[in-house]
Amino acid sequence: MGDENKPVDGERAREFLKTFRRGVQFTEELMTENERLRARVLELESSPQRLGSEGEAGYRHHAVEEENLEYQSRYAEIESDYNRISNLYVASYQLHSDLDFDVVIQLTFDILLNLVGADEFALYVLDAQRLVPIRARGVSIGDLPSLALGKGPAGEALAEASLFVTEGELDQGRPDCPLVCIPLTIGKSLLGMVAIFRFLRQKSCLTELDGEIFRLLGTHAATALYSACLERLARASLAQVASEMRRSASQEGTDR
Amino acid sequence: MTGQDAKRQGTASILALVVEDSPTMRQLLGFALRRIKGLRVVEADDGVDGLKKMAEERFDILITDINMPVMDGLKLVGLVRKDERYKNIPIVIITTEGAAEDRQRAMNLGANAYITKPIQAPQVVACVRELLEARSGRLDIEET
Repeated sequence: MGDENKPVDGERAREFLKTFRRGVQFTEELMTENERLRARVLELESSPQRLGSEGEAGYRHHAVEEENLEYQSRYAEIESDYNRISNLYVASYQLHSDLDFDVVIQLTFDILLNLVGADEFALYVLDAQRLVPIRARGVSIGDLPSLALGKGPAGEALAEASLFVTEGELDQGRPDCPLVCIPLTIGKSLLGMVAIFRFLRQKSCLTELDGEIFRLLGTHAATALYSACLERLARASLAQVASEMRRSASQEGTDR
Repeated sequence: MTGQDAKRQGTASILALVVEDSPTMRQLLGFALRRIKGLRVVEADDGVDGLKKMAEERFDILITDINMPVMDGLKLVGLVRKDERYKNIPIVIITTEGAAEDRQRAMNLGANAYITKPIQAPQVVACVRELLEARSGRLDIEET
């Protein structure tokens, strides 16, 4: 029996060894897989941190972008302010750069054309409750009626020395119906006005800056024109005084 | 002295000529353009005065009005483009003339940019910078 069993035992032993080897191989595979999984776990454990830092970087990037947009917007604001201040400074500087009456009128017109974009306009002076045109650009003085203070929307505004701006379209101006009337005042006294009848074709609307230039012209152009008139009168007086002095001196000489 | 000479001497490196009969516009453009770092502005009253100034110094950019006494801006642009020294100079037109045909006429004569009045200083500065950068191939023309 024992001999009969020997081959069987040997076969069993081989079977056992075979199974054992498979077990060893399986165990080795399991251990390798375990190592791999362990590494993967570590990787996954560290990934939330990585995702966190990526999120933080993204957040910082977003914040920087927002800051840039804010700076950009602030820069545009500063540019706009600089443009506004430059325009107002230049207008004021030019108006007071000369004492010759004609030059001051020319400079006033220069500002209206170049800084405001007005195409047809005129300067009026107050004469016995009527505003009478004395100089114009783009329109003939003869075509411009005088304007009675207190009559019509423009006349009413001017009677109160207030700026008049049409509520209609900018291309609807006429010589008897200005688009803008700028009262020229010294203190509270009305000296005259600037009326605008037409703007350049590319000027589609009035801006805040236009309003500021109108107000600046209202006082500074008035002062400049008034000073130029006084200077002309003073010059005439001076010539009269000099002439009188010469005449007196000559008289005195003759008397002796 | 050219812009390059000036650069060597450490003074302004960009020389701009502004041809304008309006004193208001000359002053305003001067303020705007001087914001470009290293830019010096020379002024002329009309086209003839402009040509005289261009013969005296070598300019990097020309900015001109159209409607001027003595010689208008379009005539000036035509003459400048025929001059070998200035055939590539960037030319900016700044004018009250807003019609498309006026713009086309100026561009046909050789202007590089056409800006209508009333101007926005940042728009003029951006335009001049762009033309100067395109000409020099530099992207470092800064604003002060």
